Amino acid sequence: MNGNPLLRTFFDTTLKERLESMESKRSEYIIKFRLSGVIFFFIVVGLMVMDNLDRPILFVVIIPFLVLFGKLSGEAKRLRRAYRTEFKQRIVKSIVRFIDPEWEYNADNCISEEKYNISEIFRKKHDRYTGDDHITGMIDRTDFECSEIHTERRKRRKSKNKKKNWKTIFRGLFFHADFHKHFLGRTFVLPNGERLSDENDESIVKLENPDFERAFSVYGTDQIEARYILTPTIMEAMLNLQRQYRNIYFSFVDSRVFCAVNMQEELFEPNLSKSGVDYSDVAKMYHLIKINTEIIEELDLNTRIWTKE
Amino acid sequence: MTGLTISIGIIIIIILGIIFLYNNLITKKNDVENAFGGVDAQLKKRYDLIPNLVSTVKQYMTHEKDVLEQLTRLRTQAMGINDAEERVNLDNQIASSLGQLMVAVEDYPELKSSANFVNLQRTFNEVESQISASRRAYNSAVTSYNNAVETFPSNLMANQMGMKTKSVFEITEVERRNFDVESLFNA
Repeated sequence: MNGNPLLRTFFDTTLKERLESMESKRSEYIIKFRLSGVIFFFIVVGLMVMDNLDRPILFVVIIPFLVLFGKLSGEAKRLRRAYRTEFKQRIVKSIVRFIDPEWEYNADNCISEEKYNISEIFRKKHDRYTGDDHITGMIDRTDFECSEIHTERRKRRKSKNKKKNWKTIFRGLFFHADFHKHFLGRTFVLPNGERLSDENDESIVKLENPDFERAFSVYGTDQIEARYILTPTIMEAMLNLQRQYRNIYFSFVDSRVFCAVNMQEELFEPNLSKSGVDYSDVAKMYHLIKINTEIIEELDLNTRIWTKE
Repeated sequence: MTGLTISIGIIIIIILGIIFLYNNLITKKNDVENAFGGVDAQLKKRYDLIPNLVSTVKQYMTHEKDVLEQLTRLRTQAMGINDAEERVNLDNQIASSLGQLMVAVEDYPELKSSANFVNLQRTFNEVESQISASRRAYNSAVTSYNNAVETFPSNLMANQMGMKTKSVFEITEVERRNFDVESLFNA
């Protein structure tokens, strides 16, 4: 991830200092975090010894360590949260503004559940909907919205491990924009092999591009409209996007295009276990945010020669 | 006893197979007709726009009288034809006349920038895209039908029913061109 000299300059002149100024907070966090870990270890050992020697009175000795542990881990948590907030406000937001000063960024917001549901890309009912890093803006004549989204559903079987009770439906970047053509129905482009759950009036659409057919499965409410939207040029564009981002979904509903890029990891989160002054981290985030521009340009949404202006 | 059951079973399976093949071929044939109807419907939309185009353009274009007359004539002809196949053939001529007209518009900057014409242009672009899409949908239906007619064992059934392969639409060069409104604003 390299290539943009302007970004490099921006990093060297602005971001680097900010990240450096945040390093003290990060080191303090690391120290307190590790210390609390060590104390926890001693507490456990102490409890085991106490148990073995069968001297419950030793518990009195352990109590101050428990208190210390509580205090340190509380402070570590606070520091972590503060670092993360500062990271989002001073670094991520700056990268967004660097790409386009008119774009808005809100770390704690995300695309509304309504919009996610309207897209009908993921139809499994979700029990939990979270997200962050909300970006809105315009590129030329096309307005867009984008954020990280994580939807999960509760598993029927309850296990003691709390994590295992939830299954991820989708996690990654969710995006939607004004499409450059009017249309009435709904069309869906899913990675090949995936089926549209709860098909109502959608049927399979077979298109002429064999590479496209290998990469995607297409469903739509109207065969002609699906082809009106998915022109040979747009199919190539989608293939280009798929080659880069692998697991990518599209839907066309209500004269808008929705796009979901599946990503297994958290995006735009700082890694506190290593130095924050890292250009490659910044470059990675820059490229992620640029996906908005890429989608709009690849799909040529700014060519407005039909009845939609 | 078992020998009889097996024979009956095989006969039932064969009958079911025949029913399936027959129904499949009929379905595919109907899909083709349906898709052809779709193309026809889109072409009609284009015809509906022509009178408006001619009247908008007539005021400005002094040299293109014959093209305009030809367009109006072709359109009336197309509306009068009942046979969809013939209408589609005529449509190629209409498309080429339209193409000529749009090229001629380049010489009339006032016309190019008039709001009326710009709107018409956009509507035409949309109709052209829809026509393209409907032809592609038709081609897809025809390919599916041809596959059924030519592959084994379906081809045996098709032969019996007298079904032959159909040909796909050629997308004409005129349609490939997208009338570029951008250039209107940059003139």
